[in-house]
Formats: sequence, structure tokens, C-alpha cells
Amino acid sequence: MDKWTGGESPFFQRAYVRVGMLLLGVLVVFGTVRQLSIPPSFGEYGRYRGDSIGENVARKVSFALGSDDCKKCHQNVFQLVMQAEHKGMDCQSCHGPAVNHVSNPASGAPKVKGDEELCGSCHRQIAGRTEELITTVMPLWHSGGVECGKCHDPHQPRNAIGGRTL
Amino acid sequence: MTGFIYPNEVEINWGLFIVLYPYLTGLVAGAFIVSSLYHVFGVTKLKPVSRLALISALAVLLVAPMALTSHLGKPLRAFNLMWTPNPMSAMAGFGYIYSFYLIIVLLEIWFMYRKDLVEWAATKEGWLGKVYNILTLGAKDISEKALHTDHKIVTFLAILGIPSAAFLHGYVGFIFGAIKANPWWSTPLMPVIFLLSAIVSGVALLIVIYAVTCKIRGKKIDFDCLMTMNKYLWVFLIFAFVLEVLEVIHMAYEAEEEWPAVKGLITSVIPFSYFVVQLGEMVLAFFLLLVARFRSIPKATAQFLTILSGVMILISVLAMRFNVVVGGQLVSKSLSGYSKFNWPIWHEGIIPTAGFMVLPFVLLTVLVLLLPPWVGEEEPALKPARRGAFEPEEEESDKPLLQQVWERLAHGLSWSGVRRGD
Repeated sequence: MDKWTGGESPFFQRAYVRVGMLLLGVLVVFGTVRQLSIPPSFGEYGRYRGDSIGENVARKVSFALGSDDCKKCHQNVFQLVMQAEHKGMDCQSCHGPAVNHVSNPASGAPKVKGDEELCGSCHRQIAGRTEELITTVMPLWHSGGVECGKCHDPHQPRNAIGGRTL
Repeated sequence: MTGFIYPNEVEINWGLFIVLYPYLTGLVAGAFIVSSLYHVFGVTKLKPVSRLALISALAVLLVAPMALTSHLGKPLRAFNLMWTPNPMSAMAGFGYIYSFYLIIVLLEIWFMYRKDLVEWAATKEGWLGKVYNILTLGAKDISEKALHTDHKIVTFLAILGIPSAAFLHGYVGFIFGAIKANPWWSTPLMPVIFLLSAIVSGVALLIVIYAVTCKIRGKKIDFDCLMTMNKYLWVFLIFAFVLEVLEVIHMAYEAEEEWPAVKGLITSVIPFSYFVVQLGEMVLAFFLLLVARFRSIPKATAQFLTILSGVMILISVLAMRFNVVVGGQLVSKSLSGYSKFNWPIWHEGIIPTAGFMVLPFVLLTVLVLLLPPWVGEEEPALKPARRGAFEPEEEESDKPLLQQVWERLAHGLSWSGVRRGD
């Protein structure tokens, strides 16, 4: 250490220069990684990746336009539904995406399983979901594990075996 | 759950990790302020903890973002905030505000330890010597002139660090205070309340850390140092308590439509953690700290009371963070019901939270072993370089506390600076 005592050290060996260079290095690394990490189309239209619009447009459509498409063939079922509680719902809410079936009916109908998982997503009793808004049950207590569809016809949920008549 | 709540209010989304976030950043800000009291405001009695305060601040500072990023579930997403921060979002500022403050703390510690680092690099054997050698960054000049420059930089960083620490934690309060949909959070007082409780918790943490490290090292606690921290804790405690209560009293007196919901929250949902743990412990600590300074109290009792108050304040501020973060989410937006907080065990639960609370002390142990903050114990004390006639050392014990604080504030800018040796 002797050679430093008294005199001033060379510029690049001074503490603040050393630590300044380190900070500068950190900043350069940060700036580089940042540049590499930002997608090229970011900010094209707003604070998001511009390309994402094109990518979403290009995605294959899986849902048909709505219940009107189903109505063209399934008149009978449609009329049943329109008389009962589920009349406000789109067929695909339960049956799932059906664009293939609509464009080519022979490709097979979308299958639906009327189990606790499907019906429970609206009718399971949870905090904040009150009886005034929607009929709720504790599925296991209510049916002892029997699938909802075994008793209730979802198209006219209150008219079948276990349901109350309107 | 009581009354009416909306379905999306069943789950409390900001859980224990988010409770930890303001708690940990608060401890950092508070510990930093203590070190600044010595380095900038020339409170020489705090010398024994001045380095310990900075090292503790760093240890806690490193853990604070861990709790946050763990809450994200996908921690790497945190970097999106750094790559493309939205200037209109307060939350997006965290990465930059935090990084800025981390750099200040690291720089201050580095310049403060530089002389020791160079000496350790030259004297320690084996890999430890190599570590110190790397840590010097090759700047080995420890001549009088170079150390003088170091010292000026440390003072500058300590001064710059005060607004930075205040900003980091005031910003945390701002995030909560700026949520207008939540009556328990939405108040412009929130950043100030957070800042003061942060300082209080930081001083308390330092009292406890100092007492524990003295016990572990078998050293005697510096009574003057402990009592000085007692004084500052007491003063800041008054401000913190007054603001916290003022906010609620103000809300009650205004009695706007959200008041019944907030009143229900503090009287029937979180009465224990609010009135007993948060406010009750503050009041009790206020009296204990005061009693500890009575002349007729034996020194051992005074020490015990001060340390006990420190522990109580640490618990009280943790409860305050819980009452704010979780309490605010318990009130339904319908203002006519309360959700319920179920204490989780694993997922963002008690066990990982406890881990995040222990981790700073593990880091602190490593840091203290690597950078012993008590190197100056046998050396002559750092003497503050004072300009002007103000001499606080002799007058300190005689003048009333508030007068001293006032004089420090009034003279703070004119006699800032500490010089090694002289």
C-alpha cells in the first residue's frame, strides 16, 4: 500500500471512478437486456404488443355465432328452453364451442356432461351468491353425488323428476 | 363472512406476502433513518449502531422484493415492470424506485467500508481475502486524501438517502392511499402514516438487533446509545400514533357514507388486532419508553423496558400492516358486508411468511460476519465535523427532547457532516 500514501492514485484506480464504471456497466447490461426483452411491435398502437392483434385475428374461430345458429335445426329444444329459467343463456354456455358442428353437422354434436362441475359453476352455494339472485344448492347434500342431469332436464330444469313444477 | 358481499370479494387476493411488503420496506426506511441521524445529523451517541443500521437495512431490503415477486406466482413477470413500465401506473414505479434506493444503500455501505475492505483484502488469508479483494473493486488507495473523498461521498449519499428512503416508503403508502374505491385505504394521509410507522418500526428493529447482537457477542450494551434510540422512538411514536388515530377520527367526524362500514370493520371484524395490538401496544410502549428515561429507574430496568418496547412496536407495526392490507379487503364494496380472512398455511401462508421474516436475519448474520459493523469499537470515535457554534453533545441530556429535535431540524443543514479521525 506504500506507493499510494501521500500521492493521488491514477484516475482509473480512484474509488469513485471504479464504482462509477461498475454502475455504468450495470446500466449498459440493463439497457441491453431491456432492449432485447421488449417485443419489436410493442407500442405500435398502445402500451401492448402490436402483433398480438394480428395473431388474435388469425386464430381459428371455435364458437358459432349464437343460439340463432342452433335454432335453425334444433327448433323443438329451442322452444322448450325459451319457456324456462335458462332462456337467457346461449346454448354454447353449457354445450361448449360448436362452430364445427354448425358448419358441418355430420362432424358430431358437442357433448355436454350435466354434472356437479358444470351446473355447480353457477348453482353451487358459495359466499356472496345469494338465493335471491340464483337457486343455489350444496351439491353433495342435495343429491348425494348423483349427477344433476339424472333428475333435472337442463332445458326445463324445474319440470323433471326432482324439480318443482312451475 | 357477514352481511352482503360480492362474489369476487370472497377471496382476499392480497394476502400475507403483501402484508410483509410494506412491513419490510418500512423496516428498511426506519433503519436507514437511524444511520442518517448519525451520519447527517451528527447524533454521535448513535455511533455504535450507525453501521449496524445500514447493514440491517440492506439485509431487509434484499428480502422485501422476494415477498412481492413470490406473490406474483410467476416471479419472472416482475421484469416486465422494468422493461416496459407504464408511466401512468403507480405500481409500475416500484422496480425503479427500489433499484435506485438499493444502489444508494450499496454505495453508501461500500464507501463506508472501503478502507476496511482494502485492509482485510491485504491481511485475510485464503478465499475470504479473495472475496474482499474483489469487493474493493481494485480501488486500493487509502491515503488521507482518498479517504477524505470517500467520506464526502458517504455524507452526500446519506443526505440523498433520506429523501430516497422517505420516497420508497411513502410510495408504498401512496399505492394504498390512492385506491379511491377502498374507504379504509383512500386517504392522502396514507403515505405519511406509512412513513412514520416505518421509522418507528425501523428504530424498534435496531433496538432489538443491537440488544441481541450485544448479548450474542457478550458485550455490554452502550446505555447512552440505547437511550438515544429510546428518545427517537418515543418522538416518532407520538407522530405515528397521532396520525393513525387522526385519520380514523377524521373519518368518523365527517361521517360520510363509508364510515359505518369502516366503523364495523374496526369494532367487529378486526377489533383485537386494531385496538389491542396496533394501538394498545403503541400507547403502552409510549409509557414504558417514558418511564425508562426516569432518573430514578435503575439502568438494567431502563434497558429492559426499552428493549421490551422495541419488541412491542415491531409487533404493533406488523399488526398495523395487516389491518391496513387485509382489513381494507375485508370491507365489501357494497359497504354492507365483510369478507373473512382464512389464514392459509402454505400457499402465501403462515409458513412461507415466517420464512420471509427469518430470512433477513439470516442475511444479516452473513453480512455481519463478512462486514463486521463494530470494527471501530477500539478506535477513536468518529467525530462530527461541525461548522458554526452549535455543540449538541454537552447540551443533549439537559434540554427538553422536543427542543433538541427542533434544534437539530433547524441546524441540520448547516452542520451536516462526519469526519473520520481528526
